[in-house]
This record gives sequence, structure tokens and C-alpha cells, in this order.
Amino acid sequence: MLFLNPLLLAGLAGVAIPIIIHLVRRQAAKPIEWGAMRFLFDTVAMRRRKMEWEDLLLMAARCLLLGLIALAVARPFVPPDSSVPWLFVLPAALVGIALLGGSVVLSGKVRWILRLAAVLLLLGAAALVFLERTLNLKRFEASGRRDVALVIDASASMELSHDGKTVFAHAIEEAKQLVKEAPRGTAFLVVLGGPAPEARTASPLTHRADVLGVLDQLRPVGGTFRAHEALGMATLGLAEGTNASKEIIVFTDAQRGGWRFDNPNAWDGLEEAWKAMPSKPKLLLRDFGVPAVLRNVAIAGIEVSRRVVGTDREVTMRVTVENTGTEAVTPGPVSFEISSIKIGEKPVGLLVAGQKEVVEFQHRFGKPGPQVIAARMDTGDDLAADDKAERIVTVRGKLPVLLVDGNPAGSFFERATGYSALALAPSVEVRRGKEAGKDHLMDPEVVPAPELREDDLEGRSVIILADVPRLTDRLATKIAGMVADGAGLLVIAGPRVEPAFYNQWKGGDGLLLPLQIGELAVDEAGNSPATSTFLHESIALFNDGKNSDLDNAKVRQWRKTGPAEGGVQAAAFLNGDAFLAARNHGNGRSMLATCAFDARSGNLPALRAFVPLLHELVTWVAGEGVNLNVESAWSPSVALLGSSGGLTGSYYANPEWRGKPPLVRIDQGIDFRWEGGKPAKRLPNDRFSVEWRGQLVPPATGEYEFFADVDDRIEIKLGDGTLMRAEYGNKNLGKATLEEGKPVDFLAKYHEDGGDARACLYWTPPGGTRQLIPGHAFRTEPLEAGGPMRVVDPAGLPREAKLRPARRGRELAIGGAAVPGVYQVSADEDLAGLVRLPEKGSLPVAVIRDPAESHFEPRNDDDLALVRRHVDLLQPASVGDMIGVLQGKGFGREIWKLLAVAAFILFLLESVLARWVSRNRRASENVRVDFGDDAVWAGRR
Amino acid sequence: MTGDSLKLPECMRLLPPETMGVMRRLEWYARKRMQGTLTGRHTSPDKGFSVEFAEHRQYVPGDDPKNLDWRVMAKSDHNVIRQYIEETNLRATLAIDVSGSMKYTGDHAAKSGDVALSKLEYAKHLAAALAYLFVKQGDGAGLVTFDKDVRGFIRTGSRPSQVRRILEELHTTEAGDDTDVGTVLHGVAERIPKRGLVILISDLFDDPAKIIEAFHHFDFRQHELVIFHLMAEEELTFPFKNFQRFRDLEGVEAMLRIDPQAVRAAYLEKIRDFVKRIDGACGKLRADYVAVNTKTPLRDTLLRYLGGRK
Repeated sequence: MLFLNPLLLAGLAGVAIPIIIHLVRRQAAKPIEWGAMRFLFDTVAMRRRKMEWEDLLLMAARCLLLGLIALAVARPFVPPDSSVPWLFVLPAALVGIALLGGSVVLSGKVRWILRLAAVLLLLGAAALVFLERTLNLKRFEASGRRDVALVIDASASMELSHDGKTVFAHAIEEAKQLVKEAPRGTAFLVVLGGPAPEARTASPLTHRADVLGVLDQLRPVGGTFRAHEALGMATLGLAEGTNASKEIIVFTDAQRGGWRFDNPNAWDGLEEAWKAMPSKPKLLLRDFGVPAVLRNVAIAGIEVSRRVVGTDREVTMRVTVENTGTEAVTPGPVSFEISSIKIGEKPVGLLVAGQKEVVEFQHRFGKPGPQVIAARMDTGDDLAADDKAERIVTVRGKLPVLLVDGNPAGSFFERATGYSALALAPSVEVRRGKEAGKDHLMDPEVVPAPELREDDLEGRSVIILADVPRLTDRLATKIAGMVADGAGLLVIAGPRVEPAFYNQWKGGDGLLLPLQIGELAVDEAGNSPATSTFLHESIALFNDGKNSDLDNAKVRQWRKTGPAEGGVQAAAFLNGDAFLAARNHGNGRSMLATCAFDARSGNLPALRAFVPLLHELVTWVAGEGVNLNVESAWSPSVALLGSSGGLTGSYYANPEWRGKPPLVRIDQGIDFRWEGGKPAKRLPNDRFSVEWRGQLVPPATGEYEFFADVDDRIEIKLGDGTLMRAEYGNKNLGKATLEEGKPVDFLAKYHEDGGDARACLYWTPPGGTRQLIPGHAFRTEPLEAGGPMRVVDPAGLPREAKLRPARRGRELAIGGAAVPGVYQVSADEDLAGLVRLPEKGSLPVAVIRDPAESHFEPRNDDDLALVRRHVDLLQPASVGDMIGVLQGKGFGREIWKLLAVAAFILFLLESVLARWVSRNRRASENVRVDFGDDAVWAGRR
Repeated sequence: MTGDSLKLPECMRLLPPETMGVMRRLEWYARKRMQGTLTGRHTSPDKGFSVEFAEHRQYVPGDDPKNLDWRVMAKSDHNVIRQYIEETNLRATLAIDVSGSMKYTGDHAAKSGDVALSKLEYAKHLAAALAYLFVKQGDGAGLVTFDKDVRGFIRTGSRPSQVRRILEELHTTEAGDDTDVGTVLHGVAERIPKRGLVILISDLFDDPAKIIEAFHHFDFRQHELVIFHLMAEEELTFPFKNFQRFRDLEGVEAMLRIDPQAVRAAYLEKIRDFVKRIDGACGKLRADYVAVNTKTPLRDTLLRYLGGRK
């Protein structure tokens, strides 16, 4: 409890008035020498207790009355998060006053006990008030002027209408009022908080008109309020300010999303930034609260039934409609659009609060490529922003699958890929050079293992190694690179595979196979897969026995498996051995089947579920490609699948590495035999030079020996010391001791003057054999960001996008805030290549609306407690409160009205009591003693 | 009774001329038969020879022949002697309470000259007037002053100098401390030997039960008892308004801070009960109870009492 007019507390001295009156009345009269003491004593003995009670009550009431008035005049207020409980202080003070007053009328020992208690209570209350005052001063008093960051939530939910205006408008209004009424010299920084918080003033401005102008220009952004980032932005801006004291005021509504309450560490970071300031800012949270009545129906999401959407068959799209408000609403029908063409409309019935409804639409996509699907509905509810949702579906024309047959020589039934190829595309023509036909999504091609060449791998989305004993180093490295870049790998481990090869097959992201392959197990009676173990998403479809007859499979020979290293068992046989195992590798996926899909190994191909099983496995390992549906983040960015390893090669059209290279690309290792040719169209046949830059990440610790097969010259620099040179021919470059996992800078300079051109780089790792240095051992120097591309954002405004290097591969980054909706990116060549756009054109990117924005889930006490641990959090309820803080006074709930009402009640009580007591005593006026003059003896006798 | 020097003795202040003026016109008649040594105007229980006829009785030899009723003898030839009621003188004892509580004066007290009379002074004046009255009509007057013990005692006498002695004694008597009226009155009752008149002047501030018991003792000794119960106006109305401190006039320095209004009703109830009880007891004993409010001038008190007494 603190006081706005502490000086007026002197009025408490008024409590002494009734006491003094009492004492004066008691002392002034000179004592009466009295004879009839006997009677007086008797009387008093009889009535003393009652009288004392009456007097005590009266005196206490009078003192309390004056005390209440004095306190009320001093305008006490209770700071919202006061450390001193006013419900203790105030009663203590009042009881103290009452006891002090009451003790005056008493006599005897009780009086002193009461006085002692009163003094203790009063001192206690005074000390607590003083303590609080000191704390408060420490908290709010600022030396000089302040820098204030106004963070205004511009998220979609702020567009909720409230009293005829949007909450956002209310927030702006309050902010403006605050700016107008704040103490002179206060500097304001304006941060507009949305998905990408934006500081609208570079540094805090002192000139009010400027700040008001900035506030006037603010418009709601939509999307999520990333409060945590907005605070960071505000902190950065405040650091630009010149004033020593800093405050942050956040105008927001009751949503806990975006505050990162689930991540205390994030708050540690903010706190550090705040601590680094000249004075740690206070955080004022102006919460506009949750509306008590909310009519809102939202489209919570759109789901597509297939993982890989082709043009070959219908896809079911499920639109979830949810009532997130508090009232029952009957929304209008949901209409569904694909590429802006309406394909259907379905009604939704009455939705009570919290109810979800799913509406299904079927559609067969006609052309491949990314397509925008959108669901809308007309609800006329309080929040319009969530009445539509958009997604991008990447429709694949073909899914090129390469089947490598480990047993091509056998009969159809014994061929490792026979059934599989047929399952993927029902055509007898599936073999080298043929395709299944345009009606099939799967585009399988079978290549016998011995004939497999590097060229065959180009452009494949999925590679199936069916019972292939082993691969050459070069192919293995290439496939590993492809998987790391997003391709899928399905290894069918039949009796022919050599576990030694597969168990050591490594890519940039560790082992390729999810499990170690072990010995062949044989059971003539047959072993069945246990569908109850089919929990992995790839085969969850068959988990239900009704959907599949996989239970009936009899597998006669299968591979035992070793321990999992980075992978998971996806399905098991009844005896517990693994049936399928899966893992993610880089951007791609790999899967291991422990039995061959041929007639000899069991009856799997004969089952009805075999075809769908193979389709499911292939679509799973194919992955979902580039996800163009982006979570609402700071600003939209699409992670593109791309080289995760390799070297950045800069190709110069001169032998001196001069000028700007006409070609820069990522090369998977150095393994080029151009001979008489040229590396690329833009380069000459002779007299060119290449510089590869990157880092070498050694897979093991030890001594590595390097070799080069080169024409003309190559020069390699490892780290900052070792320099190795070689020219013309197969040369030993030298040795270097490297440490596992510790990146070493790698620079290779090659130049070609004339004749054949060749550059191959080998190493002998510790305990290994000479091999090409695999691409995954290299890590690229980040590519420079590409040129800007034009983007049209959901509001129809132009933005820019860039391809830029990411932690893994590259990403498409769109500038500006991630407002939910569809962005159309005019893709350049690079981008079109990376996302395999069928034709050069615009690439749609959808930012998914955060469903939390439709829900009003207020910050709970735990959340606020978390914030309080890091910053001094205040929750002002009005502009006045905030100004109180800016004036260094703090704010709180004023309680003078309470006191005034109490005083009034007490006044009435006192009057009643006084009248009652006095009437009680005056009643004796009528008592008369018949004595003397009249009557006593007259007439008697 | 006037002094022979120009300067009156100080004790004469107790008997101012106006009192004497009143007393000259008044007389006191005893109600009970008194046993006195002198012939007086009061009826004695002994038969004697006097003016008032009582009865006839047969002459027996030895009787004084002067008492023969000759008229009866002449008519009936019986020798009859006339007998008359013997009149005797009255022996009054004035018992005056001089305890501390009698010191109370109050604002309304009657005045003698310019001096307001405390209850004690009132009692003294009253006693002086009565003593004068008795001696003037030839009766005997005595004095007992007491607080918790008998303080002074003057035997009854009827010589004119008796008044002077009484006045002197009264004049010199100062208020004592405690009262123990009940106990002391027993002593007084024992000290007065024959049936006589006892005039008790007191505020009777003691346990009423004890006081009434003492009255019975007087009755038992066949004294005629007259009680002048002195109370000040304030003691009867308790008119105090604001907080007051009351200091006890008797005994220990007891002090009471009190809001008089708060206790007034109860106090007055107590006083009323007290007065009623004493009055009632007196009625039973056929003793005269004279409630005297000290605000009543002495003269009025005397006139009304003595005038009303038959």
C-alpha cells in the first residue's frame, strides 16, 4: 500500500482529537469531594465493565473514523504485484488506531497491553509501508528521462472487434494518448509486432508529433504476434536511445502463442540483453483481455489424403472447421478452390463452442506442379482472418523410380525386381528404356545391377536396390549424396546382399541403412510380419488387419538385423525380428526391407496387400519433396533440398583464377575427367582454371594419404599450413593427420593449359583403402545469395525473395513478415531447377496460419511467473497506470473509495452507538429520589 | 439567651438570632412518656400530683388528706383520693454524626449568613437550635458526637448553661474520618440510661441493615427516636454532567474517575432504595424520620418539623 499524497498522512494526527477531548474532559474538572462514595462505588462496580465497553467502542469508532478519513485523503493505492500485502498493512494500521483510541478510556493493566499492541501494529504497518515505498522508489524512480518502446501487437487476433472498433485500434488509441500525456522528454520507439516484428522508428524519438505520425500509419499485419522477437527488436531499438532509463510497453491481447513460454532459455537471452542496458527495462504488459462472448469459426486446417499426389487418381482433401468461440454458430458453406477455380461447396451444420467438423472434397489434379488449394467460408463472425486457409499441393507428374536388380539373370519369379516393378506399374514393358505410361504416377525403370552406371541415377526420386550384393565406391558415394540431397533409397536385403558393404555404407549424415544387416535366417514353415507392430507412418495403413492380408505372409528367408544406428524398426515379424526399418538421412530417407520380394523368399508378392505396400514404401522414401507450406515464422522461408555436402567450385575462363567466375556451383567431390571437353558450356576447352573451396570433415582420426590424378596442375591447401602440389598424372600428394569430425579448411586450385583435362582426388583414410574423397566429406563454403526475385504477397503487394545458403543446402527467403496466405514467387532458373518446376513460372508458397491465433488462450500464472523471473513485469490496466510508471510513481489500485465508504459506514455506526449509549444513560434523568421537602412525613401518622 | 459581653462567643454562630427567634415560638412535646427528674410539661409514666386528672382511688390511711376529693365524699360518702398524671421533664440527647461524609456541602446548600452549610454545619446548627429549644422549655438536653467512635458526650442537663456547653462542644468538634453509624449507635443507645428522646442527625451513610438494627436497639431501650436524615441536593439528584473525579471524604484517598451520566440512574436507584429502607424501618419503629435536604433553610426545616409535630 502506497500513498499518492503521503504528506497528507499528517492528517492521521487528527486521531488524537477525540483522545485529547477525552483527556481534557477527564482532567479539567477539579475533583469533587464526595460523601456518598459507598453508593458510587457500588454502582460503578456494577456497571464498570459495560461502561468501559461502551466508551471503548465509541472512542475506537471515533479514532477509526478520523484515521480512515486521513488515510483516504492521502489516497492510498495498491501496486498490482506488491510484495507487501496491503490486506495486512491496512487492517494492522486501522486496528492499531482503534486500539490506541480504545486504550485511553480503559483503566488498569489492559490499557497498557492494548497500547503496546496498538503501537506494535502501527509501527509494523508504518515500517511495511516505508519498506514498500523504498522498494517502489527503487523500482520506478529513474534518473532523468526515459526511452520507451511501444510494442504493438498487429497479429490477426488483434482485428477482433471490440466495442465497435478493433482491438488494434484501441491499442493505437491508447498508445497515442500515452505519447501525448507522457512526461516531456520521453523518447518513444515504435515496434509493430507481427510475424516479423518491425521497428518503425530506428531509434527512440522525442518529438511527439513524429511518434504520433508513426503510430497513425500503423496497420494490422496479420499472422502471429511473435512477442519474444518483438521484445528483442524493442531491446535493440532501446539500445539506440540516449536516455538511461528504459521501459517496454506491450499492447496485446490474451494469447500466449508467440511468447515462447515453453522455452525458458529464450528468455535467458532476452534477460542478458536487458541486463546489458544502462538500466534494466521494466516490461509493461497492457493486456486487452479475452472477450467474454466470442463468435468465431475458423478453418483449422486442410489435409491431403496422399503423401505423394499424382495426376493419376483422386485425392481426398479434408477441411477442418472449428468453432473456437464461446457461442454456437452456423457458418456458411465451405467452398473449395484449386488454383482459384472453385471445385465444390459443402455446408456445415451448427457448431457449438469447441466443436470441430471435417468436410471432405475429392479432386483429381490435372497437371503436375505446385498448386494452391484454398478453403473459404462465409461466417460473418468476429474474426474474419481465419475464415479461409490455403495450402500448396505439389502434384507430381511422375515419380521416377530406379530398380536395381541384383539377380537379373533368373526367371521372372526369381528376379529380385520382378514383382516390385510390376507392382509399381502394371506393364510388362517395364525395363530399361521403357516407361509405364502417362496414367501412372510411378515411373519405374529396372536396371540389372552389373549394368548400373552413374548416368542411370540422374533424376531419380527413389532408388530401389533389390538384393544387390554390393556397389562400387563411386556409385555408393553418388547414391549417398543423392539421398542426402532428398532422394529415397529402399534396400531390399535378400540372400545375395553382402552385409559387410551395406553395414559400412556411409553418407554425409552417417550410415545410410537404418539397421545393420546380419545373417540370413531360414524358416521353411515361414515367418509372418506382425501387423500390430506396424506403427511407423510408412506402413501405418496396414496396421489394421482389415486393410491387409500381410498377416498371412509366409517369409521363408530373411535377414537378421544388428543394432540400430540412427534408424528405427518400422515393422517386425512375429518372432520379433525386424521386417522393415527406416531412417532419415540428410534431406532424404532410406528404408531397409529384410526379405527379398520374390517368390523364393516367401509369398509376399502373392498377397493382395503387396502392391499397396510397395506403393506406400516408395512414396514414403520418396519423401514429400520441398515443403511449400511454411509455418508462420519470422519471415517466410522455404527449405530447399540441395547439396548438403561438396565443394563450392568457381570456374574461371582463364588459367589465373582471375576476375569474376562465369560459373559457380557445388561439386560433389573432385572427380572430373573432361579429357578433351570442357566443364561447362560457358567455359573454354583449354586455358581455364577452377578453385574449389570448402571444408574437409574427416570421418575418422588418423593419418590420411592424399593422391591426385590430374592434368594439368592441382594445388591443395589443407587448414592453414599443409600445401600439396601435383601435376600431370597420378601423383602422391602427401600425408596429413586429421581429427575426426573436426573441419579443416580446404582449398584446391586447378588449372588447365591445354590438352586433356582431368582432376581426381583420392585419399587413403586410416585403416582403409584408397578411394575418391567422398562428397559428404566436404562441406561447402556458403554460396552467395542469388539475385532477387519478385514476389506478390497475400495482400497483393510486391516483395522480394532470394535464394540464400542455409544450414543445410539453400533456402528460398521471402522478405517481410510471414503473414498467412499465398505468396507467388517469380522463380528464376536456379529456383525452378531446385524445386523441379515443370515450367518456368511462378512458385506459390503458402504460409500457414497459426491455429493458435484463432484461439484465445490467455497467458496463465506460470507464464507470467516465468516472465517475472527475467524482468520486472507490470500489468497496467489503463493509460493512467502507464503514465504513472513513466512518471516514476508506479501505479496501483486506488482504495480511497473503499476507505471513504468504510468511514461513512463507521460514521453512521458511531452516531447510532453514541445515541444509544447516551439514551441509555440519559434514561436516568427521570429517576428522582423522593426526599426532603414534600411528602416524607407530611400526612404520615 | 443573650451573652453578657458585647462580643458574642464564637460558638454562638451556631445559634443565630433568627433561629432563636423561631425557637422562641416553638415547643417540643414528647410522644412517649418520659422519665425525668424534674416536673415538666411532658407526661411521665409515673403518676403524680399535678394539674391533669387521671383517676380516683380509695383513700388508705397515710395518704395526704389534701388530696381527698371532697366533692365525691360529700356526694357518696366515700373517701376517694384524686389522682393526677404526673408531668415530667424531657431528657433529649442529640446524637450527631461528625464523620467525613458529613463534610459535603454542595452548590445548593442552605446558607447561614454568607456561608454555605455543609451537612455537618447544618447538623450543628440544627442541634444547637434543638438544644436551645429544649433548655428553653425546661427540658434537659445532652449531646453525643460520633464518627466511628463516640467523640464527645455531654450528659443531659436543663440548666441554662447547658446550651452554652453544647454550643461550645459543637463548635469545637471537627469532622472525623470514617463512619460506622451502625456500631456507634449501639454504644450511644447504651449510654443514655433512661427512656428519653434521642435525636439522631446524620447522613446515615453506612450499611442500612446495621443502622436499622441500631434503631431497634433504641426502641428496645424505649427511647423516642427522631432521625434527621441529612442529604445534600447533589447527593439526591446527581446532576453532574461531564467526566468527574470523585474523592472520598472518608477514610483512604479513594478517587474515582467516572462519567456521572453513565452511573446516575443506578446511583439514584441505590439512594432511593436506601432512603426507602430507612424510612420504612422508621415507620415500623414509630420513630420520626425527617428527611432533610440541606438546601432547605434551617428555619424552614425546624418550622415544618416542629410545626407539624403534635
